[in-house]
Amino acid sequence: MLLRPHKNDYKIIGYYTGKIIIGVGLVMVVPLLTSLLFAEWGPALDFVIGICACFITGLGLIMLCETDRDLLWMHGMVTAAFSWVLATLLGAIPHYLSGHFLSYLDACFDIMSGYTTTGLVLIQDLDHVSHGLNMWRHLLTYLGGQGMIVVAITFLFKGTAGAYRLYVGEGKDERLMPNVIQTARAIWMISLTYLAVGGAMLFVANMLAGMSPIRSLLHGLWIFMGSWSTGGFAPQTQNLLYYHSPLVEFITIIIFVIGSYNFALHYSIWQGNYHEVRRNIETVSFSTTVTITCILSFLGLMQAFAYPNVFALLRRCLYQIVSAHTTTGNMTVYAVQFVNHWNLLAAIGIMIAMSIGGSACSTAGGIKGLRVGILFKALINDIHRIFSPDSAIIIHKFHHIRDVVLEDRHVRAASLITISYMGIYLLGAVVGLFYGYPLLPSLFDSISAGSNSGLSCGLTCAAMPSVMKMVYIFMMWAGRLEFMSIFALLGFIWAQAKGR
Amino acid sequence: MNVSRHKPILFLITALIALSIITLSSCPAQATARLLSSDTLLRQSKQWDRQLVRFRGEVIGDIMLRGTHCWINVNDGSQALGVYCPTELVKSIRYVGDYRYSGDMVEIIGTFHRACPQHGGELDIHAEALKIIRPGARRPHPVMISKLYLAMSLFSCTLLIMGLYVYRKRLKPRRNK
Repeated sequence: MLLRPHKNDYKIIGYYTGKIIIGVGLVMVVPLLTSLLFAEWGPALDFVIGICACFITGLGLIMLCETDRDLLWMHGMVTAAFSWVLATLLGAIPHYLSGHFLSYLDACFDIMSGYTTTGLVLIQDLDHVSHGLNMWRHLLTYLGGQGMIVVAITFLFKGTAGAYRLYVGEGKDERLMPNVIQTARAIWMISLTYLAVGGAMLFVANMLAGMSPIRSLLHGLWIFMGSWSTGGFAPQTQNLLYYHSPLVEFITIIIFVIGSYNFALHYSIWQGNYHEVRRNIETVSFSTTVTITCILSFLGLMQAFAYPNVFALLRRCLYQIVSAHTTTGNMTVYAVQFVNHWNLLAAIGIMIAMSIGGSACSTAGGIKGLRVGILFKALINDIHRIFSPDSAIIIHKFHHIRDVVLEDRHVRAASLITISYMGIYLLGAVVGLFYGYPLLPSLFDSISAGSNSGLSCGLTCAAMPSVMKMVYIFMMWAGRLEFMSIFALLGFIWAQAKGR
Repeated sequence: MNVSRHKPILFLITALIALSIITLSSCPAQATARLLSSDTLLRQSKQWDRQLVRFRGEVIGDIMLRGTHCWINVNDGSQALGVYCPTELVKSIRYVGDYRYSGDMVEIIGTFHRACPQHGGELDIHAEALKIIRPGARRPHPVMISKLYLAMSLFSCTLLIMGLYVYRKRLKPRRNK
């Protein structure tokens, strides 16, 4: 029997959503200060309006839904999914007021793309965007990479079991520390340390590329945020092509590979367990699939005579493949080149890389290396079983921070999520085909949105139909939260309509 | 016919022809390059590979000096392309496009590369000539009064609701007592 949600359920969801929205408002203070620092008065007003809207909504929800009750699993999941929608609607206010978007839907698209670390954009005239707005674009993708709820848990939650349920609702389940709040703080410590190191390296690289100190600093910070969060945002329309710098490419490739690793792996390495990199199922799976997809694209590009020499071919191929596989979306080729310059085989390599994605509990999206590894192990297990006597007991293990015995529940969970990802990839492609786009761009951009990659072959633009924009927003949201929270939210709405 | 009488005229004609040939050969760009958009160059990159092209757009972002040459990025309204050029060509550029300024509108004449062998397979233009066709200018960003009023009223509402929240918080322990 389906039970209709009680008034208290709404109160709990509203109360914790309010806290998360206040977190979004507090984060907006950083771009506001940036705008004030550079005397950008118009954008500063946009952020004041955005902050006020967040505080009014957040405090309003907290006061209306005040409760002492803790979150149950259902509340955690629904709050995670709902707060992402509300944070998108409110976060889009400064975007829309900036005048760089054709509609509020476009602004919401870019915000969802940022939070989910996708990197697809509909912004207009990016080359003339204010420093404040650029700071907001990159900051939200940086925060989205760690998880918006991780931000709220770090600063606005007291030690509750419910905080862990919210954390899981955001598609993360690794506990680096015994307490979830300490875990959130550890994630922040890791990310901020890399921000300092990576930002400094990119600052130097930009100076060497010939940029002024201030712009080198800002661009270094923003490119780091875009790369580390595997978001792929950049402050100029040409993305990474703007810099014409092999050094910038080299540094960013390292940053997004590190960013795509599981936070548990980072923490393990920080504790001196360096062997984990070599043994972890996710790093093994990642290096295997990167090699396979790279060979595929390399062969495709060779067949198409796309590049004049092996060095050029390797440089372009490797960057695009690793960017796709870590679901970053930074590009060193123009979007239309995937269709006009690259051939089908090369594009298929990119699409496979995007669909697999990075590691679980990281800033990356996609099916995830852990699940691909588990499914592969399960396949080997089944083959092994076929060739063994009936009485034989076959035990397979995989290593993920510790040795884990492969059980049916692992395979079931991995299969369920993999099927869900395949489902949304297909959904986006079918919608693209419905609107008359060819198969390759429809599938390419659909996989990119669903896996939160952000590479595009030119289909995603402000001129695309509104329904497609909404479908892509849904795909980015569902892909980032790994479906369970979305299913919980839909179930909650269904229970309200049909429950007793 | 007396050739010696026409000698100066013949000499003048020969000199003019020679001068024309020298002039034409020294600036082939102006003579043959076709004006193309970034869309055309990206979509028909095979057709225009290693061809002399003319490309117009706004200089955006930075002038990135790299020794004797430099990189600029030129946006024609649809897409920005990277232009690699000798440093002396960019000396006349005064404005580059960003939030505060519209960059100088320039016309580039140069060789288009679909995958440049010198720059790791990048799609670029190696400029041979650069001309400013419209100087850049400061972009006005007036503060909209309606936005200012909206911000002020929302800020007042936020203060009010924050006050209410703090008041309720303070009241709560007393109620519990």
